Amino acid sequence: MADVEFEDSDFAEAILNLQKAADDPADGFCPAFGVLGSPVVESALGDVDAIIRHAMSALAGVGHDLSVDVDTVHTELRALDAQLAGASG
Amino acid sequence: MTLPGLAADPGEGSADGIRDLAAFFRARAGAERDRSTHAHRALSALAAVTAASVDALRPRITVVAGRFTDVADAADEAAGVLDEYADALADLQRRASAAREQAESDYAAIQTRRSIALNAASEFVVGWALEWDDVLPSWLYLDDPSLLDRWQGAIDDYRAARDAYNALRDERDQLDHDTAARLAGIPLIAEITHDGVVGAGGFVAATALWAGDTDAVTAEQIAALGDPELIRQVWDSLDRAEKDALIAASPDVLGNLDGIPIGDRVAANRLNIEDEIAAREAEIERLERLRDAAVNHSYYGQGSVEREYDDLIAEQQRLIDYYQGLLMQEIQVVDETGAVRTETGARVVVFDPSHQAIATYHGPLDPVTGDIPSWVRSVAISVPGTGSNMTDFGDERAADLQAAAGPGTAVFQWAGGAFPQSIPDAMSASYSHDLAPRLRDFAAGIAVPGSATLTVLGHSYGGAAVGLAEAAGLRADRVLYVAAAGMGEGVSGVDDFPHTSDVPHYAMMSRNDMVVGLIQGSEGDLHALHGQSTLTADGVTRLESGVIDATRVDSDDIEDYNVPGNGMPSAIDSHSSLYTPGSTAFENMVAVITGGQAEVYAENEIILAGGRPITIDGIDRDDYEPVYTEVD
Repeated sequence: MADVEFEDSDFAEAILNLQKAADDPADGFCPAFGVLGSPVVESALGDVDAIIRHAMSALAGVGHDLSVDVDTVHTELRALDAQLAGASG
Repeated sequence: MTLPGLAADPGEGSADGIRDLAAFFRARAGAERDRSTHAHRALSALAAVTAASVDALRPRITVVAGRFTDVADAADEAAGVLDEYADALADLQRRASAAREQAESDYAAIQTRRSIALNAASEFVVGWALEWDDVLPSWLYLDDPSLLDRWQGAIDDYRAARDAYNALRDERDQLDHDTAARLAGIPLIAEITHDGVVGAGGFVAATALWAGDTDAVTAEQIAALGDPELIRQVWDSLDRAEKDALIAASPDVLGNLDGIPIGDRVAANRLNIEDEIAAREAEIERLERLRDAAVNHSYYGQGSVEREYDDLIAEQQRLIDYYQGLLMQEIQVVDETGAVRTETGARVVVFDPSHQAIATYHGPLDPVTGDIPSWVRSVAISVPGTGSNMTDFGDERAADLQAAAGPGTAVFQWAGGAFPQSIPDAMSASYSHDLAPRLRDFAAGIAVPGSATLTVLGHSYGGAAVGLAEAAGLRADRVLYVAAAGMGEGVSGVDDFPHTSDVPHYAMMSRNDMVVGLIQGSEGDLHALHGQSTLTADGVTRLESGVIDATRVDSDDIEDYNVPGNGMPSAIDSHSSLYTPGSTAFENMVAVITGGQAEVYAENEIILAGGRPITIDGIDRDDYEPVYTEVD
């Protein structure tokens, strides 16, 4: 028999935090790159900006998947718990 | 005021605006650190939970928390670079302003000194001939010569001030260059772009791969990675359903994408071939409508109008028939145990009629990876020559070579672009220049098993394409030029090849080859049509073309063998009969591909008979004994 021990509140907090980690990234106002005064730096910063933006978005997706997976595991454990409780009468 | 010779403003840009940008990146960093904190809190909340399924989640949460921090660090680092850039720019702007002020003042002084030295009358008479930095010659000047000296002094002062200003422009260029390098060198950026290998188009897929979230990437984003190794990594990170969905959505991209496993390329190209058949059928319907309309409207010559259209329709039908043949082709696959299995459908690994590109694979496939199995020991790419096209690209040659070499060998037949369709066309090297980078990239996209060798062989015009691909950076373990037109336009020898100069090179050609024999360039002859001859190049071992049936020494020499029924002289036939299975030449090709003993070219003998020189082919000499070389 697998050793299983958990509180619903632990899962609730974990899911809540993962959901916060997965919130859609909302950037503030980004000044135009023209203020740099240099096409070379503008291009390099454009790359940095794009990669960071894509990374933020991709990680939010990963965070979302994790929150769903934690929720699924929680549901399964609760079902198992209920099953065990029923079995023990 | 416009000042002569002054460089562009070194202080261009806004230091305050750049600080705003830095603040923007810092805000992003803060947000990502918050996310990391939330992920860690989630981990802490689960700390008290005991369950195997939660144990499996913990490392995933830990990884994502770390990646949030990585992004925060990158954003903070970018902010730091920008702040320093803003500071340096503000300092430059201050100095540039002062330097410009000085230059303006010095330039104004030139006008002052000039007007003192030249009175109005002189200015009218000679002033028009003097540039801003000219001074009247002293022999023409009757007044106080010190006025000329001061005038010249003012010009010199301006030049010095201008140089000081322009030096600031150089300083700015250096600052820009250094700043761009620092931004590109931020660890996260360098990691995701693989030190700049991945361009902007590939950022989405490369970032998704880094984040472990590739389920939403498109085929086009994967293709934009541009690097077969990265493409393979992204592809391998997808599950079967995701791969199938991408193949269904973008078969045209994936069927031709170097880095995608063979099995998936074949699946995508089945769809591409079906689409192409549908397109040709639609074209036939269009032509039939046009034909019927044209016949209805013509008062005479209906038969000839009909014939014109019927010829076009027949050409479309010919393509359809060939493509359907590819889909229906039965192929026999031998696995590691020697068991033979029959499958339906040619393994088409390139199919792009818009570029006249097609390639097939002959050999076993790993049922799990869909790629060349790890037990395969030899892989070859065979490149055909002039006349190759979508429906005739020497596919059977690869099949023959693979069958002869055995199940431990895999052979691609590659015609990945337009080939010349006639001998006059083949005088142009442009096709080979276009084919070369495609061949290099195709080879780079093949997952050659660790213990296997890759041999690239090119026939006729294809030999020149192989040479140019080598010059463009092809990587291979062995190269074989078969009756090659040359090593490629502008190629002077194997030393021109960045990655294959040290690998074994072999060449073969019949002694009487009338197709390319007469255009062979001699050593160092850069004016030859297709570069250095493969037959005389240093570092290339010429192999024997021998006889048409290597098991019978008394069979026809390749040079004498006449292909039945084609009406060509043997000197033309011998250009291609090298590929006759069982011939000495063919056996030598197999030996080069698999490693083994290949027969070295037997030098001809020249004797004098009746006072005239007569050439005796090396294999017909009285003292002929085959000599073999061990292929590494």
